[in-house]
Amino acid sequence: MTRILDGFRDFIQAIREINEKYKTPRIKTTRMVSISLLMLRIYLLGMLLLLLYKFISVVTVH
Amino acid sequence: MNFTSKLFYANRRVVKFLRLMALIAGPGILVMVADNDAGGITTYTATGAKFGYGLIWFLVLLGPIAYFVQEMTVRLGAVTKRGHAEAIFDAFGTFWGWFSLFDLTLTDWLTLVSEFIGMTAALGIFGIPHWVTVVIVIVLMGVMVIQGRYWTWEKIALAFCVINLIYIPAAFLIHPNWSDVFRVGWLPHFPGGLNGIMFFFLMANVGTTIAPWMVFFQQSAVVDKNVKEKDIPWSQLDTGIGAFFTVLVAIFCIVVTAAVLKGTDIESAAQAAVGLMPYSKYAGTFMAIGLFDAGFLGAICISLSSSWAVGEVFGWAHSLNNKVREAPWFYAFYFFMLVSAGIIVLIPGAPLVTITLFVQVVATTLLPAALVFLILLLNNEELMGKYKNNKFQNVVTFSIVISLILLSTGYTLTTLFPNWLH
Repeated sequence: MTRILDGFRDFIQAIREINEKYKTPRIKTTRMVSISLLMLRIYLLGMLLLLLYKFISVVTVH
Repeated sequence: MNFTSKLFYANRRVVKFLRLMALIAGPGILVMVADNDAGGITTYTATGAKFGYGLIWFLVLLGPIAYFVQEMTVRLGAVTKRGHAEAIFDAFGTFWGWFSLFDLTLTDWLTLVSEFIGMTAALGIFGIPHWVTVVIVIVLMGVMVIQGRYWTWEKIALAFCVINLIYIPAAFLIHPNWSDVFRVGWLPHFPGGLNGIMFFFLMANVGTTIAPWMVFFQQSAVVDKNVKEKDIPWSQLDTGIGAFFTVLVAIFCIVVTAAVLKGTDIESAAQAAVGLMPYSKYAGTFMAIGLFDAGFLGAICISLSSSWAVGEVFGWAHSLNNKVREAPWFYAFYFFMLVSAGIIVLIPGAPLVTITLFVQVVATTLLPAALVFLILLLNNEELMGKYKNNKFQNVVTFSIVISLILLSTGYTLTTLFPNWLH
């Protein structure tokens, strides 16, 4: 049990270190980069909403 | 000087070229041929059975599309010496990094399940129980990676790529009318008009052309193989040859089903193999062997794609040149993906159809991000130097990426909401 907990703590620590290492995006924020990332966010949000709609419609039918 | 020596010296350029090619060829051919995985073969057989030879011209167009996307991963990997996951974390920060890594792992795992479905169905035709197939696949793939050399792994995988050409003799065995194949197949047209069903099939074929795992796999493979900047033209040729073979296999796959099963609704390639048996036992057998090989090749690349990505980000040793004791987490993750996906197929009543459909949906959430990041990174002069995209490459790749995003999104939406097409 202690070994599992230690392993879990190490995993969380590793994630913290990754978050710290890549905290600042290195790419130069040009207009193209900003627009592309904004479009991607909108696209993903749209896909998420459609998936939610599908999930709700499947659940309510059953 | 004897005749052999004269011939050798006369052709030494060719020999040198072939030697270099044998050294550098690998990631490009592998990723492209593995693109014709179990799902891909099912799509091609269904397309051939539905529209005959009518969409062969469309598949020919998909070759250059796959080439232009995958060629970018070669340059990015060779110049930055980083896999795609690590490159995204570094350039775009943790939000996009974790999103890509999580989505890639989920997509890969679901695709692995679909590869196991294809492989078990293929060997099931020969009466081999599903659990035996799963065990054989895990042992074979385990042996391939734990020997501790990238080179050996790659050459074994390339041997499986050769088996993928089995659809070519299968096509000759059923004696199609070749003049029909050329007359109908090479003329751009939409049999039955550009209706909803046709649009669905076009999107399905595009959807199988570029998958997110391919971008991550080839870039990591280029890094693991230690491809240098000077080797880029060779790796581009490797990718070009792979694109040629992926289209060739797809065409012959369509020819096989179009010649014999036209007018049949095909739901899986295993169903096509069984349907071929009454016409030609060997063609049906070749189709089943080809399906197993396609699933196996897909599984080889997909399981490594996520293991490399996770290894890069977590900073584990993550090379196939490492022994198991040198890279325990990398191999543990590889086997975890493989074994868990194999077990799912063996669970009685597991929702395998839902999983197969879900693969496409999840992949569509990752594909646009992976492709957009690829183009943005390839336009970063600080990172790429003289290897950044030129104007021509940008025009071509932007057009391809926008079309791929629109078509794969359309495919996903019609998968989620089939009534929208009617």
